[in-house]
Amino acid sequence: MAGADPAFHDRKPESTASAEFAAWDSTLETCVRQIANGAQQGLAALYDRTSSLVYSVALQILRDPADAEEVTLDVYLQVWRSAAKFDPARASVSTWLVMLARSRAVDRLRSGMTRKSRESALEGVADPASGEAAPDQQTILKLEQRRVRAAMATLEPEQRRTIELAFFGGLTHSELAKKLGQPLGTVKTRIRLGLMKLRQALSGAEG
Amino acid sequence: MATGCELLEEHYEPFALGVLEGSERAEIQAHLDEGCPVCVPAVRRASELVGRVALASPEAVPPAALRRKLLATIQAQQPKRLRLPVWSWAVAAALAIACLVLGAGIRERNRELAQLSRLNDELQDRDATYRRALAILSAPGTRSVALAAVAPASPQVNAYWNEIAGLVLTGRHMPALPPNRTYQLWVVPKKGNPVSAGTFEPGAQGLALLISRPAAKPAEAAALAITDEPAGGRPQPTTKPIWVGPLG
Repeated sequence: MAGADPAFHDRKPESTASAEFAAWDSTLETCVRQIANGAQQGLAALYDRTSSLVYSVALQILRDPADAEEVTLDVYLQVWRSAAKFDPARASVSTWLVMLARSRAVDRLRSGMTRKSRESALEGVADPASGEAAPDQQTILKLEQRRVRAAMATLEPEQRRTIELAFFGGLTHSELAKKLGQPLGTVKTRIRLGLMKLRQALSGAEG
Repeated sequence: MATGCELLEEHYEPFALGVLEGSERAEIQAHLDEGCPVCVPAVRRASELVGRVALASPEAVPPAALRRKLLATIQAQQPKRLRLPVWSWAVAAALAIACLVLGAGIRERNRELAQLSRLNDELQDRDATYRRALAILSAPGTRSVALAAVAPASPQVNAYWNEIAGLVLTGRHMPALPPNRTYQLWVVPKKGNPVSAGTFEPGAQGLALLISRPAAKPAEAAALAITDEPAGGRPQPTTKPIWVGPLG
């Protein structure tokens, strides 16, 4: 932006993903390009690599396997329709997917469309050989999950709770303040300091 | 924009987390929609951080049947052949003759419209790609890196890397690869293992364009390198580099 302080341009934070995870994430872009060209195998490959991540986020928000399955399905159908519009300048593929999952799950939560007591329509259909990521894919994802959990554990408990409520509950600043019974300024500070600490922890805990 | 980007900095993460409300959120969204070269990549980094929170959720695996349901749904959306009873063929034949006479003009026009629509989509995608490349090339602080071919008589490839805006790689007359192979660009850091910066396949006349956001920073990199890898790329190079460009 015109007139911006040059030092401001230089103030780029460290990457918050491990090198292995970033490399893994960049290979997902190939799947998205294949999907944009109408290749179903691209969608299958993307699903195999990322569905546990998308499903985990949906399940954490909705707490119901049947709802989480529907959101997961919605996410990949959305990817199938709009892969050509994916812009790597805006987000990595994994972030795009989890934010899609989060957005759809929170929408469902807010609209009261959840079906807590419904049994999964897919329960009992056993096919453990398919639909799971390859072992090396799982390993990279699991290592990154472990790294993020360790980083989250460095946050103050109230910072962590506020950030998790915001992310998995889809709450805004004022909704968080009301739910937690805290002043708005306190909630804003917890989020700001908590995310700052999380960035530091992830940038410093490379590998 | 009345407000300087510096004043928006503290809102990047809250915006990405979705906790901002009303005018605060609208103001940043409008600013991002203008394509601000400072705030767009900054919000991308904020989104990457916020996206990490998702990884803290307990691990769960969807049922295997969901994969089949997804692929079946996609398949169902593809054009299908109708299965008609035998008697219907006589009706169909009569209708077909009528359609041939009456519908030829309409079909031709629909075909042209579909072609134009596809062409329009392609041009819009290309336009967006070239705009992103241009934003990187014209961003302050972008440095160029010439990647020389290890083998003689191969063309030179050029990269343009901006710490904030990203990296553009351009190549001409690049040799085509078999369908199951892809070129992969690597950032070779001064310390540690190479980091993938994306995969690409040359198009017509060997033209290649890759836009990437490497996880590493230019100051940390010793070189850029390109290898030939299996389709989809690999977390680490499995072949020797074909092109290498040192960062001075």
